[in-house]
Amino acid sequence: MKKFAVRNLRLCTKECLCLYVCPTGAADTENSIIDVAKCTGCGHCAEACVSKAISLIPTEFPQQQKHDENLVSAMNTLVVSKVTAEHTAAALPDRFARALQRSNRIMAEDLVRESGYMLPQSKNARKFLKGLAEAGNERAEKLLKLIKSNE
Amino acid sequence: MKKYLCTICGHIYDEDAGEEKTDIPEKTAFESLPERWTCPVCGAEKSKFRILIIPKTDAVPAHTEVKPSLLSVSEVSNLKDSVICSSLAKSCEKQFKHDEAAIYCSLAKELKEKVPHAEGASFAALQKGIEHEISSIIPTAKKVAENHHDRGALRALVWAEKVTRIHHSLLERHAAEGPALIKDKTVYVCPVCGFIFIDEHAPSKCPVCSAPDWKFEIVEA
Ligand code: SF4
Ligand code: SF4
Ligand SMILES: [Zn+2]
Repeated sequence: MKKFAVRNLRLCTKECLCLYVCPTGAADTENSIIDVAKCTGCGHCAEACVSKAISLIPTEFPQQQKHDENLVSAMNTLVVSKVTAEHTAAALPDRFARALQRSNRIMAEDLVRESGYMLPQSKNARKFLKGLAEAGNERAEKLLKLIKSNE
Repeated sequence: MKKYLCTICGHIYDEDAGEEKTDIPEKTAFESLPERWTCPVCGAEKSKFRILIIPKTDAVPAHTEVKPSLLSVSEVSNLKDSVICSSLAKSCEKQFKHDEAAIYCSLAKELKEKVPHAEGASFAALQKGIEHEISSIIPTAKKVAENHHDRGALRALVWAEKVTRIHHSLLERHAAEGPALIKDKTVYVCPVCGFIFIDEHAPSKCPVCSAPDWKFEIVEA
């Protein structure tokens, strides 16, 4: 599987082995962001990094897991309840209500991810964007162009 | 009888009610719980509990009428689409697709803003929704996930159930204590699972999903 290296700037302790082991010079940049155009994905930098600051990201992802229709519908019922709660909490005062609002959104995001929207490259995600694009949404159209399908 | 608060996850042990999950009958004093007994939500030991003193307050009216939420089908679908977008934004972020993530974020915001603010919203309405989730929606979904051996979905449901129960006990306390619940305290939210924690210092890791505390968001006014 083809990969490319990315450096986590939070973890990087700067100026060490990765620069020396990279055969293409991709790891040595002024802004510390590894040059995707030069990186071959060999992984030497990630192996050499003592701070575990480099990950190899695949350029292609496997197809996402299929979910049963009944499961998607059962999860959807809970998602609807969570977005309703988020919406109610948004109209209430104080930090406690803000926390409830945020928490309901986080749960809903996790639930939709586990019921068919794991990968931005999936057929399902594209179908979703197409629906919005057909209704004239420009952002959805832009995303369809940017993210390639893997199915 | 008294109530006890788990200082790790916020779960409340109510002596009057006992604890069905751990086979503790009604009217069991906290003192007489077995030493090996642990918090049914986060597994903290008995010593992590403290007595819950609920201050009297006249800030909250006893029982106001609970209006059900009146969202239309298209409003619900906009809100749901917004969640799909913010969820996919997170996935793009994980793949280091920053531009795509940013567009997904704006799209999530755009869709959410199509829905006007709720009118007549109340904490009691939230609690009502939660009771329905705990008694019906979540158990049904968990059964379906088990039947289909869908581990990912089941994991998400188990976390959501724990966090929802925590919402329930926090809302109960909020109904009794009013704004005192958060006064001079920090409000934390775990960005991974949605766990809410209200106190001075957050636990070192999330009791629901095990995310480390440096990931927690602090809720500002
Ligand atoms: S994966 Fe290989 S080519 Fe890419 S930055 Fe690391 S060492 Fe250089
Ligand atoms: S080896 Fe790791 S810590 Fe050192 S400069 Fe490279 S990425 Fe940063
Ligand atoms: Zn968590």
